[in-house]
Amino acid sequence: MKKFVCSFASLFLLLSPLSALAEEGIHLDGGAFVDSLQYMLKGLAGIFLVTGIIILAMVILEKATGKKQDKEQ
Amino acid sequence: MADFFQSLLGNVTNVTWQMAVMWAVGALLIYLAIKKDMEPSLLLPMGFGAILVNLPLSGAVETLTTLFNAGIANELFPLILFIGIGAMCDFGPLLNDPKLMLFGAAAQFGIFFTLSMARLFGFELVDAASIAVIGAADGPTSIVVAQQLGSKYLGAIMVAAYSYMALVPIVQPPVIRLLTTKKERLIRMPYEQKNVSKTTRILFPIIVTMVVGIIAPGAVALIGFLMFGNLLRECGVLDSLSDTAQHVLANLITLFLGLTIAVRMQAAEFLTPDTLLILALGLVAFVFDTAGGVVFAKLINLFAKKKINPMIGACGISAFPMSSRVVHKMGLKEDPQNFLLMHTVGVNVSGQIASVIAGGLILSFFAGLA
Repeated sequence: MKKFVCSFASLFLLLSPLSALAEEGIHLDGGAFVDSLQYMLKGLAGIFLVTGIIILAMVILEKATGKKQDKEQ
Repeated sequence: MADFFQSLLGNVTNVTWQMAVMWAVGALLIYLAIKKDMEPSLLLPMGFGAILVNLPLSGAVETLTTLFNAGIANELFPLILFIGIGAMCDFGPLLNDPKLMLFGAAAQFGIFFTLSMARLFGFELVDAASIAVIGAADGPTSIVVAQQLGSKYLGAIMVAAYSYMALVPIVQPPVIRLLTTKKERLIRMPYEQKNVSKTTRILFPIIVTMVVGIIAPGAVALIGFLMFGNLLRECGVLDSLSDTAQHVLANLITLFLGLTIAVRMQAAEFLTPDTLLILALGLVAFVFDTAGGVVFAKLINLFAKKKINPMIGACGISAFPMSSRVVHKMGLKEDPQNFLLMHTVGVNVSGQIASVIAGGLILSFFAGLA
């Protein structure tokens, strides 16, 4: 519970300058925020996909070259 | 006599309070660079440049604008700098344990979260995307993305990106402590050294360039230059070129980059509420990047038999090698026998790759809007 309160307080402190700026006339656009969440989903999916392919390629490569190295030894 | 003083001191009347504020900003950057040793190679030229371009009727602006057009507007400096960075990166710890790359991917969460936050505060999509890339903790990527998307906030984005990179030792530890328990921070991770073959080390940069280039073509220049630098390092027959890329080339470009960035720090352009907002959003990006990596490690721990110290997830940002050092030191502070360095370096270099991929994906999503 204490941790939750701390996290909430930190988030509040972090975002308070933003809210202060918002009060000074910066427009808050909730619709744009929600619309942009699709990019978060696509972006993270994309990064994990590319990363997964690279990891797979590395594992296969290391297996192949590792065996070759063993044979040479 | 009056004419003499008028000609000698006439320019004093052109000083504005905004210029004075920018001198203070410049002085602060220089102070942080010298006294606090925070990214001095970048903050010092930036700080001096901020003073230089904010002197009334500054004749340096024209020269620096020429340098800006020659090296930043066409993305030349950041790309060449990436050759040096690639030559400096030892991907060995990552190749030793390729799954560490997942943490680099997870730590890009802050980028996409910040994109949404920037949209919430009314920034145009291309500007929001450019601001979000501050979270890549990677100056060259931030410059390339902002430039290619035609963001009008390039100056503030560059300042935020480089300043927060320097502030990693201040920004990351509290976030890590907030999200982890003492018990988690004490988790030991013995390093099992595997023999990574030379063929793997040589083929790694080529394969990464091809995979990223095919899936996220927007990132191919960045990843290509980074991996070319790494190929120079690993090929074993171009030690002299590798050495030049790591030292002379990287230093030379850094020198010009820091000073040239300052041309976008002129008071009229820089001192706006939007700049403050961008600096705040940059902080949001760094905090949520760190949180993304740590929380991802905690999630893996729910299923993994061999527990991972969740602190290493925070190194998935691209600020190399600062982030890995910070987390390594945090581990040692908790337990003087807990050596996390090889793991943190592995995650940190994977963050370097992942941040470029994230930048490339952002370019793929929004290039049509620029």
